Amino acid sequence: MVSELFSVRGRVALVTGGTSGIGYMIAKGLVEHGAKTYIVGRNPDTCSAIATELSAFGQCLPLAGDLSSMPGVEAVASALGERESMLHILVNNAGAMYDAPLGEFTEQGWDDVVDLNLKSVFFLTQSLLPLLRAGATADYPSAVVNIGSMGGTRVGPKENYSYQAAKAGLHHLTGSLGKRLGGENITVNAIAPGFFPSRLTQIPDEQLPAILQLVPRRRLGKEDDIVGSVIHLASRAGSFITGAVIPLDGGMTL
Amino acid sequence: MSTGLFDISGKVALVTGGASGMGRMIAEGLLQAGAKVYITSRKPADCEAAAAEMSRIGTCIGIAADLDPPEAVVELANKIKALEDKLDILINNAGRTWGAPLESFPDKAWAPVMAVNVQGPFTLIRELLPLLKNSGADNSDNPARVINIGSLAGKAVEPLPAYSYVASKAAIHHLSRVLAAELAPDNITVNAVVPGYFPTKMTAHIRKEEDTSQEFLARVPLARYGTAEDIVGLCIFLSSRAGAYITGGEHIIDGGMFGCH
Repeated sequence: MVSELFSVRGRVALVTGGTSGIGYMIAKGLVEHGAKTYIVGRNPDTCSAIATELSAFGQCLPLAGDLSSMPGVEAVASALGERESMLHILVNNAGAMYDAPLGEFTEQGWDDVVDLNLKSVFFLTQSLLPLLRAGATADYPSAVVNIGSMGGTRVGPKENYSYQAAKAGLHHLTGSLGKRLGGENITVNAIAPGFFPSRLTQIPDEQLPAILQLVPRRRLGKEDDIVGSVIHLASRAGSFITGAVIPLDGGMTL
Repeated sequence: MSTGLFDISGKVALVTGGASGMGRMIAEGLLQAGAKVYITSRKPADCEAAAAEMSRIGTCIGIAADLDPPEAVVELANKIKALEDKLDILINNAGRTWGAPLESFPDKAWAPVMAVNVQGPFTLIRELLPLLKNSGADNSDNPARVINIGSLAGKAVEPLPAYSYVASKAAIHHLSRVLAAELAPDNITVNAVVPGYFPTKMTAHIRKEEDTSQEFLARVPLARYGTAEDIVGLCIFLSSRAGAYITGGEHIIDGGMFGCH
């Protein structure tokens, strides 16, 4: 009964930014749990290499594309449309980070981050709606999972203005889309991770003890944590949850 | 690799108010997932009958307890301590409500509601701390879990003349966060589950008539009531390895009423 409730076996999933960091963990977890998983990454060689690596655990397919521009978003959506008639799980994970002192913060540092972390999520989801609708039933909705950040719920120490604003925007967009798509059996939720080892949050070894003092659970996030949260939302177990922003931070935002 | 990410088999759980309503759904779900489950109910006969019925699924033990007077909560904790060395999952679900129009809402509608919905869970956590710490002691990746059942009515403004109830639920949400921060170093997570409308006695008045029900469901983005699977799914998630890093969360499960408002 439990294994059925949390099953994603046979579901079709797409994970943006699935070649590294949290996206890689999510893709690996979905593949291991039996979902047919497409990963989107900018570099075609890396994307293929990671897909091949993850294929050792199940079905993983590369979908190289650059989501930082509208043509890139449309190309990814149509490439998936050529291969699949439905999409059950969309994980909007791809993201960029930029930080600079307030007086030196550049327009590029604003646009790059907001375009990828917020705008591309909206338009990729829009482009994939026909596929998401095709796989959705009242009993078992399709799930959009947006990877937000604790930076979108709390003001952290870094001067990453565009990142925090984009993530807060993404959390709110989650509710807007959830409201519109609930009637079509598509749930939309956000996960707000704390510190996970990834390219965006590289933590030098000597700083780790001080960082961990900020985390009530006294450890960084890891694969099981993010995979568990994504699968809960994407499986039948999560089908009554929509418009939620779920903290995954070891208590750091308390 | 994450084999058994959602596995809770062999864990020891206590579900207060587990003989009926949402508590019963949760207790049955935990049993089906292989946990050993203690349930409490105010009424000894109901408690015994429910435990006997659920024993067909797995190991279920009923302990009759009224969670209003603090002494009774301490007594319940002592009974559990006599039977178990550790407690892996504590689900504070037992609740009371009181409905009356504002003008005539009586003073006596406060104490019992706050006692059962806020003070009871607090006292039970305090008294069971040694058992919860024992559960968390062996492995930081598999902490003990406390799940407090709150309510959407304690988070959003719902049209309910249940003033002490909504305040008590807001209180338990906040208390969950405070205790989460304090107990994290002991490998105990504390989360609030915030249900919207589920088919229990508390929502019978809405579901009774087709018209009222349709009007209500128009307010729910997913256009349905919650089910046993929904609440069980969330509780198992928070009780398993999959939820080990989540603490101090308010987990709203309401078909989108709050987050899409």
